[in-house]
Amino acid sequence: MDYQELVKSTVMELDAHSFDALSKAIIGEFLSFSVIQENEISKSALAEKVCDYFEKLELKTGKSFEKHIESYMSNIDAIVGRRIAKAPQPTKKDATPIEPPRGRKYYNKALSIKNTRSLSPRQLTDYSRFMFCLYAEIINNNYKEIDNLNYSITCLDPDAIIDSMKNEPETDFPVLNKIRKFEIKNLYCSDTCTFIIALIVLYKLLDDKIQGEYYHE
Amino acid sequence: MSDTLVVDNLEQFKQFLNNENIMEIIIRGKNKKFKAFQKVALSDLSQGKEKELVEKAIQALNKNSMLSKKSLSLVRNVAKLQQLDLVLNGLNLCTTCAGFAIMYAKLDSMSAEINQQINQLEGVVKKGNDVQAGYEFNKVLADYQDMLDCRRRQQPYSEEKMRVLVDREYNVLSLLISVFQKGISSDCKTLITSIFSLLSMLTISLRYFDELYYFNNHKVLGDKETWHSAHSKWMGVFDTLSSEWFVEKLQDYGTFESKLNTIGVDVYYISLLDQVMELRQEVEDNKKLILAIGDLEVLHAFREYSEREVKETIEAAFRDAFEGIDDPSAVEIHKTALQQIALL
Repeated sequence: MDYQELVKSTVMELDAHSFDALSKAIIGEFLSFSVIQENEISKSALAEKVCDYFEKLELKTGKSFEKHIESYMSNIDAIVGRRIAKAPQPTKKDATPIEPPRGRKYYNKALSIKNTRSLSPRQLTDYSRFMFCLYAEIINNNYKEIDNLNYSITCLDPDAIIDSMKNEPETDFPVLNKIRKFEIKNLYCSDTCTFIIALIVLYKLLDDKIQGEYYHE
Repeated sequence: MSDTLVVDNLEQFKQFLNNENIMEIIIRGKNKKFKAFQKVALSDLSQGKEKELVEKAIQALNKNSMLSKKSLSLVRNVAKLQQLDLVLNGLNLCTTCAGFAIMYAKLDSMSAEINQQINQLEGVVKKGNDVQAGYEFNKVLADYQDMLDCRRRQQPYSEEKMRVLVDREYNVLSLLISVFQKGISSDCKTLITSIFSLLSMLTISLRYFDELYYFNNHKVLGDKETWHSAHSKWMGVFDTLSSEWFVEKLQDYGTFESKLNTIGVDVYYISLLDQVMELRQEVEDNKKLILAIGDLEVLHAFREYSEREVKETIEAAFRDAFEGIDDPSAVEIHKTALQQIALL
């Protein structure tokens, strides 16, 4: 997957409401326009801006977009994976394996997508859906270990997730937890790229929300 | 005075003995003056006895010594035996360890076999559950079809027969839900389809039953007890099918057992839950309609009219959609659709 493919299937596919929300979240803090005013930003202008960013990122870091996607997935995994309860290990060899908690099953599903070669934008969105639903559950559980998740798209609040990611400590160890996990002062680095991809994917996920005629989550 | 005699043995005293074999010894006092005579007798007999006793004692000792030697050798032998015993014990231990090792190896292989057998058994049980659930489902489906057929022949079920049918549908639906909840089915796809088909049947049956019950009993029961006392129990199935665990089960099925992506899973479970809400709404709306119209004949007339309207609307939509299409497969689909509409 190259960045044009990702941008075409996410930013360019958003409805007006989701695009507006993404534009507000991304312009100003991460990207900026020199001439165009915020209220004049069109979908194609934002898409072009995001593509320019990824192109510059590749040039400045010397890493391909694929590598940055890998960094994005590893970064999300680093803040989620350690807080998912594992299945209790069976005491005897060959003993019947104990079924893992529901949260772990979804996490394993996300990992199986992560280990896929040459991801499609849809697979990246699916990976992010599982991971962000788990992360939202972790936030609700005060960053303690979780064994279940709310799979509903309604549990995803991009502002809360991004704020929480900014404050993520490098480790959960109390003495060393003042060091932040992500360094986003430099625009052209893997950490900042993680935030930009996360925002794009989160608003795409909300944009894809299915609404039942009678059933409302 | 003679010289001092040095005595080596008792024999040398014999020369001093008198006729009575008594020897007299003069004891002097401190001032070297005569103090007393001490008679001393030497007895060869007693000496011989002692000698004999000593000899016996030595002999006995020698014997004991022999015994000791024997004992020692015996002890040595015993020690050897004990060593042997230790060796034997060691061997036993080794044998036991080997035995345990073999036993554990066997248990391990048995454990794997048992696990395999349990898995097979689980599969068989799951299939058994599927057969049982399928049997119950088909039974109630036959009753439901019979009920529809009776209505078609203008010989509708009585209130009592309808109550039995609704109750049976409710019980089989509860059984299917329980099988799904416990994960004891090998074919979740069919099970979920069966649950939603049966829910649809229960909704229709319950609507018919509510009509019969209301028009047969409302004069007796009045306005307070309008519906059957089991009505809320039957309606409880809609709550079960909207509960958190059921939603999670549907999400898990979509995510892990189907090949759907996350949007597909959302569409899948949300449309099923939408169906639950819609069917519940149908029952509630029907109750309101019964109460609003208050007369069975008028209700039937109203329903016939609205059903005819719906049929005509669907037929018109199909006609528009297939207009000008001569493809044989499309014509076939159109024909099948019209047949299905006629059954409504």
